[in-house]
Amino acid sequence: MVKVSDFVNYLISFLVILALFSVIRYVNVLYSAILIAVLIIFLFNEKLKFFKLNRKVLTFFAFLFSGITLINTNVNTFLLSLCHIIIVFICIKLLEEKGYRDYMQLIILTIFLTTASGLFSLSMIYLVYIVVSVFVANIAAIFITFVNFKSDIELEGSSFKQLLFKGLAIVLLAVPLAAIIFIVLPRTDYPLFNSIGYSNISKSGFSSEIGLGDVNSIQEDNSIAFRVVMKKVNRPLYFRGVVFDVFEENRWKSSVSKKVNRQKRLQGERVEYQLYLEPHFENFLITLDYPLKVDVGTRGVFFTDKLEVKDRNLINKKIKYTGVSYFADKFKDEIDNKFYSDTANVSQKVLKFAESFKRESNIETANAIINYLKSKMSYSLQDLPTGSNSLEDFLFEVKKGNCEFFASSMAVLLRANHIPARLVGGFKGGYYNENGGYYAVANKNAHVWVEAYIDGYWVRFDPTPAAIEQFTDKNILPWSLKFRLYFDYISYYWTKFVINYDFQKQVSLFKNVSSSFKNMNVSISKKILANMVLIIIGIGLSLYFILYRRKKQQADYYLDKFYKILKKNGVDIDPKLSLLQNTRKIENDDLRKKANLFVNEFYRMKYRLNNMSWKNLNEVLNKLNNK
Amino acid sequence: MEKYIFMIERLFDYYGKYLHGKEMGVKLALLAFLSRGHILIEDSPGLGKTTLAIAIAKSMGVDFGRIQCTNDLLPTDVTGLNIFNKEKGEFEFKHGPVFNNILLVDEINRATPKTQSALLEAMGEKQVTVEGKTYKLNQPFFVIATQNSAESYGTFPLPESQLDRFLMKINLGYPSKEEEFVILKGGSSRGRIYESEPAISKEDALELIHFVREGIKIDDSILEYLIEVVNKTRNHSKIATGLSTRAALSLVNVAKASAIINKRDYVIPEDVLDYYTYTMPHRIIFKGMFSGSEKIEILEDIIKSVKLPY
Repeated sequence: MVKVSDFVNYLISFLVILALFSVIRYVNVLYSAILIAVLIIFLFNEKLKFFKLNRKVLTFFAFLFSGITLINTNVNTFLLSLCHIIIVFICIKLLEEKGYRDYMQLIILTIFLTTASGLFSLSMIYLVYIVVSVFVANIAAIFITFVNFKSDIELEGSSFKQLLFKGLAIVLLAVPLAAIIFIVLPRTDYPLFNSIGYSNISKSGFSSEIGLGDVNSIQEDNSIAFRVVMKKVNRPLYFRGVVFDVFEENRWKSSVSKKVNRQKRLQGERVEYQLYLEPHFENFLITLDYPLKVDVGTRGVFFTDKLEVKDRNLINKKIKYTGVSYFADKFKDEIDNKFYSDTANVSQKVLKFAESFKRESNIETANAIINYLKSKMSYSLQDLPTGSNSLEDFLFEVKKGNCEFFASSMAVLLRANHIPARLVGGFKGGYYNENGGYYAVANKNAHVWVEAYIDGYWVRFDPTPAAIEQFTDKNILPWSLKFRLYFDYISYYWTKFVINYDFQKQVSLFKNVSSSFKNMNVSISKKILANMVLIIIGIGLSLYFILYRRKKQQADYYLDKFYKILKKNGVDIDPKLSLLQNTRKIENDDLRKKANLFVNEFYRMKYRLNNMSWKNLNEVLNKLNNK
Repeated sequence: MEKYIFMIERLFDYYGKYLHGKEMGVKLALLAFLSRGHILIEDSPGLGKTTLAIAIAKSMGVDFGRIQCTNDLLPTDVTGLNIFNKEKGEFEFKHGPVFNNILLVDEINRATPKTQSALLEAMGEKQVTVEGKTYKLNQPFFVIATQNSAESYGTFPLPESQLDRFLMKINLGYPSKEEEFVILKGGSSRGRIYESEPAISKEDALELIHFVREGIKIDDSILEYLIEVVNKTRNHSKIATGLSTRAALSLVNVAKASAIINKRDYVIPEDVLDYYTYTMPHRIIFKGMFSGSEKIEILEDIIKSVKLPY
């Protein structure tokens, strides 16, 4: 025996906890704590009934609170404030005395909260939250009707199970429809809440400035920065992001980039790829070294004279783009020598030290520097030099550091030898996912390297010792990372098919559908339009018929039930005869009377009131059934 | 609505008291009366047709007249005629039996076609024309005609096209043993009927008829159902001429009357289904010869082939 009201309370609690978990990363800790406390009080109170709260006071409090919260809200915290208000409403509903309506409101509030979490982040976990809560909410709604019917009702194990499975089945039935709606529903290219509510900007390995010795936890961050769908290549991958060309006070900055229309002339192995970039809240796009073309659809992106690709806006949602690049170690360019050789902010000590690397040609000088750095310095992420002298400290004292130190040392030493140099910030390496056919690049793959201008070419030098490359080799990955990679594989498809499913995808889907009607001599766009119209009409019609049939089926449903009960009582039913003609055949007086009660009620609703209130019919049927 | 239900109850109490073994006949006659139609009873003599007509007339306090048809019955014997009044020195119209509210026409098939048609005109138009002058009949006007099925010698059977004027054609049939026992024990009730008080007044009866026409709700789905049935009779391989629109309209009226005698103010499918064997067969001209039961079987097939409207 299961007591339904208890079961409902557990389901509600579960929903509340689920909803809270979905947003717990974003909301104020205080609210989470209050909600959990209220939930515990609620569970005890339902059992022991030790207090009752005045509904009016609670409602007043709810309105007061919403008002105060909304006053203190701006555009950026709007979503968060809404979540807070919902949490408070849930608290109040939990404390109130509960009727059918209140339970339903509670369910709806939890669904709201869970849905809101989808506006904060588009990660796959959202799907889990929403699916689970929809299932649980549906079952809870079914059982709530029982509680409403009879508050202390208890169910036997078997009928309880039956109800449970039926509740699950109802939701499963909705899945195909949801899939269809997902595919054909019109959609915009931009998410509704583009930047509202992003109070916790996710960190990325990518920044527009490099400060030597700044605390940098990125190097340990396993989260994915982007994924690149391309063939596997047997060479180190350099993903270009920002070019830092100004060195001042131990910081590298990026000078204002000029937009260029003419592409650089590139040589090397041509490669095409698709890149799924997680939001990093900068306006640089990541490209494979060296980019020739980038296609981001409707977004306004442009190339700079430093061979960067920039977006006009910050990248605050997942975006996808295709690119064409060339694998090479250098590319031809014409530059302002003086600008890239500026040593104004380099100390005398370093300038003097740099003289020791002077060789006959620029390329030999560069090699001497890189050899020195690679052999005499070691890679480390701990105890990095900080402060205004961090570069000197690195070179002369500590002699260990991360890629930023190596790269910026080399660039400074090159410049001191009158060789134009700059830093390039981006990513290096990545795990190749064989199944998905893509490289997953984590934030810890963030990297900085050097470009030196030698004989009319920008030549890439990577002075950082090999330590960084070890995590590109899959075989020595720890188990936890391997698991992460599998999860990333799923997450990749989620991004590819769900998050990035936009209007263009829709169009191409319909295009594929329409291409099967090749003999139709219509131009493509008309074809798509015609197909879309047809599909929409088709869905509209089927929806109409489903609704119409359901309306009709309601009557049929009760008739079926009626006939079933009669059959159970041994009455031969001829569906071609009318209701009364059938009931007249019943020999048992009591049964006939009760059957006639149903028929009369049915007829009265159908032919007199023209409006079926099924409550009465159910009542008569129940009477008939419990004969 | 309660008022009309009360009237119906009083009427049935009345018939219960004076008529035994004729429940169906009474019901059908009352239905025909309420739906402003006429009824043709085909039976052997001596089974209470006259008693039935008298009972209906007396129960509602309306005038009752009777015509015994013979082959020398003249149209004017039905309608009435102009007679010269010597005192006033002018012709004056002497009303025939057709000017009663309820008219029993006994053995209608013995009257000549000319007389029959005079009567049928009165039934259809609710008026008679004598020597160019038209006289309105009294309201309500209800004809119970009988027809002897046993004898066919010297009769003029009603043409099939004229049968359509009757709403129903029924057989009273023999009463059961128990009912016959009650009748034999109590003797003929006709005398007591003549002395009885009406159950309702003539005005009530008119009001009831009016309510049947205006106040009973019939759902579109039932009308559509009826139309479907009527259409099937028109396109059936064994039927030469199906139901006319007048027939369909009478079916609607009967259904409405059936609703009120079942104490409802709305029509349900059974109101149509329960009485089609009395209202339809005589209006349909079949191809070839079929016995009565065969005709009803054909109609049953038609009705069952149409989906019920719920």
